[in-house]
Amino acid sequence: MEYSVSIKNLTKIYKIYEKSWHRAKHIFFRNTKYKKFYALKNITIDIPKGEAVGVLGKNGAGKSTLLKIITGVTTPTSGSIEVNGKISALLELTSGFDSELTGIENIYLKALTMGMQKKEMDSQLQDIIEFADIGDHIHQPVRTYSSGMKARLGFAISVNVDPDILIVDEALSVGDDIFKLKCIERMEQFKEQGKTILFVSHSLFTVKSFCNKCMWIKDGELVSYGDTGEIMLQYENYLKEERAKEKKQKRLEAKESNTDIQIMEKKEIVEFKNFKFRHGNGEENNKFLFGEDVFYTVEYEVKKPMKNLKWSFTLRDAETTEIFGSDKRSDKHYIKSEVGKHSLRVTLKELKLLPGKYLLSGEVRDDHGALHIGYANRVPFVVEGKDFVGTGINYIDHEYEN
Amino acid sequence: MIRFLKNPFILIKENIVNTGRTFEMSFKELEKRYSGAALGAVWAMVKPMLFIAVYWFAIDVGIRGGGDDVTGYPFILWLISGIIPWFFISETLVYGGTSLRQNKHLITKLVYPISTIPTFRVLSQMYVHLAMTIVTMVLFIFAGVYPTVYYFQLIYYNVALFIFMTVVSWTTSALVVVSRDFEHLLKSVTQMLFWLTPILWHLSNVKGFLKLVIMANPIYYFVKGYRDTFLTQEWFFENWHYSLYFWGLTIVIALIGAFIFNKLKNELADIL
Repeated sequence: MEYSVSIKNLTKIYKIYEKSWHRAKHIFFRNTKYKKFYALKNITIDIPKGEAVGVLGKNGAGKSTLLKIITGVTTPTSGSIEVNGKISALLELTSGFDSELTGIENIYLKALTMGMQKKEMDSQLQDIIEFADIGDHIHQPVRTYSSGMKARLGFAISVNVDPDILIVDEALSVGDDIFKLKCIERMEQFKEQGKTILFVSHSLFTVKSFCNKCMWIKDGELVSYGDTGEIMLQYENYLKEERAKEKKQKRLEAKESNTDIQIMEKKEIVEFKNFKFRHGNGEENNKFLFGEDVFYTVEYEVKKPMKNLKWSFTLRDAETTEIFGSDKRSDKHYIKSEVGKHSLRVTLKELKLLPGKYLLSGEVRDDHGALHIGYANRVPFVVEGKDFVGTGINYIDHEYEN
Repeated sequence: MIRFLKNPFILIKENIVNTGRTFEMSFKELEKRYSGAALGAVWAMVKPMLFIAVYWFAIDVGIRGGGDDVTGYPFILWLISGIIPWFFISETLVYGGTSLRQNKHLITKLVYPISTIPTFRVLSQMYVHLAMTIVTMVLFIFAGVYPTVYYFQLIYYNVALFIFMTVVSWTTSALVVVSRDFEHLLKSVTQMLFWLTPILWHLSNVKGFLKLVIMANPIYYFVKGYRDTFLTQEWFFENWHYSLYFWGLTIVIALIGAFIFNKLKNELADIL
């Protein structure tokens, strides 16, 4: 079989130096220290002519490095690569524009850098301009272009220089849908002409519908290469697992931050101490019976003269959904604001919360709400019940008439 | 050792193969450099002339008080003939040094013969220099100094300038990519070289060993060469020992530069 790209044991190491100029030092002093970063590890793959290959992998997996090596922009550290045919690459959108030159000038620049004759490009010019379809901007410097316009021009040039191998790296992600369709159409034509296409896209849907083969790269290693359906299934499963892991991690982190009671306050102004749940007889306990009065006490010390401090509190269920927040504006909620130590006792009368775990948080504000001093963040208390009275959070008194 | 000696030839070969491209790129570069400004390429002329006027005023009128001509020629003519190559060298030191960094798209996105990038940058500066040289000739005619057969050796000096600056750029351009520190260093050194080279002052003011140190600076080879051409009327081969020194030094710089360049060549795309 004829291969368009043949890669054997390819490894790419990036040298990472502590200081940038150590790279220069390394030229003369062999013992200069550096770290090795394996961008690609021992990759072996043969891509036959006429395949449309999707390159799958997360960000930083090594996709772009591999494509750059195939293109010839960068060289492998070890291993060999053989490419048969003329490559046209659209690497990371810009495809090598000189931002000071106009679109037209850049088209010729590209021709020049690809070693094409000016005449060759002259005949392609009209096609490129038409395909890019960016109007008069073609005569403006590329630095004035939007990323979409750059992608259009880049793609237009890449497909119109008649390559044997087309490399498209993330180029379609910025274009609008009409342009995307146009590009896919053109790439389909390429496929029919038996040209090889290497395609990177984060749109799995596009890869699935366009590519007949896929390779999956993970942490610089080739995980698998084969028919799109099969590889895509593996890759999607992997993505799902990764996402589940992430979610789990997030949940763990959230739990941790919830369980320890944080006391957020501005200690130099007001300091709170001894937030306690109590029963009617003053006994310290955070377990209550359904329907009981719930008391909580808090001691606080005002250290700087303040005016009109207000206390408010919020009740939440175990999933931190707010059940009740006391009125923060009511005049009834003023507390003693003079400098000195005070204590406050709050009664929640005949609590109708159904058995379960609840959280209470309190806060102090001044009259304007300008000074906001959070206090106890979500202190848990438990409601126990002898009899089953219903489901949900709160008991609602009800009567039946029949 | 043989590999070390081979280094320059690798670069020279790549340059020869791509000569056509290099010329085209040098025109593009020139176009790019001056297309943004309203006066365009005129700036390339105006800037040095302003500098000459200022130096002439500060030195000849300000410091020397319009005293006698030490050199036997009007100070302004002596100044212009020496400073013309300096303008090219100072501009090109920085311009060649930043050539790879500023043409990053050619390295990271395209497959382009990297060693020709400093070449076309230096080449594009050559055009400006040639124009400046012609303006100088015209200026000298107005001042009553007419062209002589010695003007032909400007061809030699321009070829030497081109080779010397290209070879220097191998080192500087590669190092500037590695770290911005080298770019700052290069700019500072260029500033210092202006005062350390006998451009505004006469070499005869230093004596003995110090004179040799000052002459060791290859830039003075061109300053002297241009003055010999325009004023003193001396052929470059009359000074064959100094010419020999210059070419010897150029070869050493080429060997070191090519060594550094080839070492870093494959990493350039990764660091830019």
